[in-house]
Amino acid sequence: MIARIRKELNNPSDFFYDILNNGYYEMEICFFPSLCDQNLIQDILLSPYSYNFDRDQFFRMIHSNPNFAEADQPEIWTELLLKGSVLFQLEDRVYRFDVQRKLQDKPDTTQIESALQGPQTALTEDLDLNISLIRMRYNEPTLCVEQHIIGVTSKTRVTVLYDKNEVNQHVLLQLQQQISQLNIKMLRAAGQLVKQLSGKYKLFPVMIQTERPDRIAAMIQRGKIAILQDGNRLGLILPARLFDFLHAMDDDYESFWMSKLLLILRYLAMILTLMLPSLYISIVSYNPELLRVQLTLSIAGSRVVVPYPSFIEVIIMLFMIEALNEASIRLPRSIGSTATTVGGLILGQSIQQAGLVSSIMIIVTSVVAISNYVIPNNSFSYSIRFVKYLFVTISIFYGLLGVVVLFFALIVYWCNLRSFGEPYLNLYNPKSKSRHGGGK
Amino acid sequence: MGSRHTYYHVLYVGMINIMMFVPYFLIKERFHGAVLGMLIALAIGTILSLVSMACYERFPGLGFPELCDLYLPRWLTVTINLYGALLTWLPAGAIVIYSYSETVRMFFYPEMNPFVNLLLMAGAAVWASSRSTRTVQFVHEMMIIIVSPLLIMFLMKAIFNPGMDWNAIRYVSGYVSKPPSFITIAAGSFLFSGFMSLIVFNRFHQQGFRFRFRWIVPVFATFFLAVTFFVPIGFHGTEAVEDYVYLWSMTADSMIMEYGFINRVLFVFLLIFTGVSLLFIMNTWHVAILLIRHSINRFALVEEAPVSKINLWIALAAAGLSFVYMRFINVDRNQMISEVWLITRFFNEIVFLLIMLYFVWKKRKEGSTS
Repeated sequence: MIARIRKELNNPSDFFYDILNNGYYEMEICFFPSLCDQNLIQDILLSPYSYNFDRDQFFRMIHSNPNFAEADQPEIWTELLLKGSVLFQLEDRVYRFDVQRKLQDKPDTTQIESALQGPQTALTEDLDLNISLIRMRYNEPTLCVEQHIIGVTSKTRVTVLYDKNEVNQHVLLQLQQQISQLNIKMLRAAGQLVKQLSGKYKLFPVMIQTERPDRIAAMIQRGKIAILQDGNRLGLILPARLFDFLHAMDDDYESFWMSKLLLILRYLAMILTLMLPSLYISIVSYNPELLRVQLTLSIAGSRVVVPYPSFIEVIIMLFMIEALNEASIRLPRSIGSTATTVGGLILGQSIQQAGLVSSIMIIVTSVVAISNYVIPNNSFSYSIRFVKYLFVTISIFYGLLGVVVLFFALIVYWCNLRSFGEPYLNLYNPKSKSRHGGGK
Repeated sequence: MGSRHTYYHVLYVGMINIMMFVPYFLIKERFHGAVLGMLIALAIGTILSLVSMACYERFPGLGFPELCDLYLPRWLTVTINLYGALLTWLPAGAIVIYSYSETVRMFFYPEMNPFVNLLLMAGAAVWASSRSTRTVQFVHEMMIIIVSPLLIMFLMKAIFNPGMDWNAIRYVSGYVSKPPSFITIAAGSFLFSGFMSLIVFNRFHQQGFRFRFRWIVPVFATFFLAVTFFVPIGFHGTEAVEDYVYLWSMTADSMIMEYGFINRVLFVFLLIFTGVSLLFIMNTWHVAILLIRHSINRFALVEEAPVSKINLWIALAAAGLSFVYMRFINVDRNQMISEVWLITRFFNEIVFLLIMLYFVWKKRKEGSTS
């Protein structure tokens, strides 16, 4: 066995193999020490072997422990070893022992989607732990866990979770079909799955990426499907609707009126971050008569020193804020705060004093940035950030009318999107309809 | 789909009358039988809409083209559908896209090239109208929800405005005894025409579908007819009201808002009508596309993802026609064409209703024999 495996694996240096002998019977053993939990090997396999001189007793032990199994297909030996199994041979029979080393054994804390009064646990990069986190919250026998292996080189384990009674069968069928056609070489992050499953050129995400097990459990209960994967601490939920992306988990845990108020605030913030720069351009350059006279005069007054048209001003400031955003993500934590201080306070103040942009524009920029942070879902807020530039572009050529017409086109785009056959933006999704095919 | 989607059609068609020059025709005849004409239009419109809705109720899930296929020979089906697409729905979109883009150009940027401005509107209309029917329906709902707060504010502002002269309104309504003129009947009944969208949108209705609250149709239409005729008279007086080309825009400009960022109600009005006009254009062109597609290959699905390319080509052709239309037309001629369109539409609606009644009769006969 060992000779064959070493040949197949090209004799790697981190591979351990030996022929053990306890004086009564021999055992060939091999494994990758870096992939396996060596304490477990010691406790469960090697100690009994070294103290158990009765061969039948040892065989009984192997047959009674579910962690051991016979590995009678030589062609998958290397695969098993690479997944973290121990292979050992006793009297011409090869057994496997699954002792993959677990790097994580407790749930993470939320980092992206924090909630003030909700649970603070988040998914981890370990699939089994994630599944147990979901099962703990969604404790129903109807919860189905389907396993898939995706990725030619990474062979990542991916599981699809759903409630068998609640799930929308059309969505499930379409998902399974799409998963079987996936063509990914190395699956590293959930975002890759999103891209492959929903199409590369979508402007808006049609699957929710979340790190919160309580969100996943709540969504499964509503008949949605969750996808978890090994090695990434984000789960996917589908099908998604526009409203899901503006929903924070806090909304479920706080008082009704306040959470509804916050929800409205979020929609307003989304509209603001989307349209404010373009409205600034259209009001300054096309229709100053739109606003009341006092306001128009104060905007014009603040622009007196600015030597170029409004859209250049907007582009300068938007570039600044995007660069600042990007910098604060890329920089190490300790320098991150310096970047915001330099960018936000010093530059913001002096760029206006130097007469490069108007003070109103500084306010517009900060409103845009703050409103963008209000959106609870990161990938959705990225999309909004991008679409903002479409609005800016059209306002350069068409002013206010362009902005309004593009907003209409955006609504059409949202209504036109389908998330696995389900509508992305509509008011009601009657359950009976979605389950029995919809359409007519 | 519930009945509410049909009422959305009634709602925005009731509003779009302003871009169809309905107020202009009504006001012109205000001393020559407009009031009585409107009352007759109310009666006719109510009958047309309610009876048509009742007819469509009997064929849930089937649009008008499929019904034609069931009961009429193919050549007649194609003729009727192409007639509807090319001479009723398509021109309606063209008239509105022309009059709205000219209106908004006049108020927002008079020095811009009208064709460049039309390009923006036509682009949005092509994008929207070439989507699947289901998408179009979702868009209706979302846009109505977005527009309605502004609309309610605008109507409240207009009706309770201290600058409105109720005596002028009373004076004009005193001319109720004058014999009605035909154009006011045709124009007035246009406000009910939202139900005509059922020709395609009836495909959404499931077996056993019944319209609920169908009294909404006459109530909406009556309300909008009263507003569209009487509010300008109240603002401008019985005589001066005739002098305006952009009658409703000027009426909106007669109001101000004391609070908030925007001072002139005109801009609120233009914002509302951007949404409403785009809705109307999207809907007319979409219906035209579906009628043409049914004539080509009997296409009758409400959901299509992704939508087929032919939608886009027909929509682009419609947009191209609207450019040609703009090339050869000015505001006066547009008014004339709109008049012709309103009158033919009036007869079309009656003919379509008769055809529907024939289908119902056929169905009943088949039901009794089999």
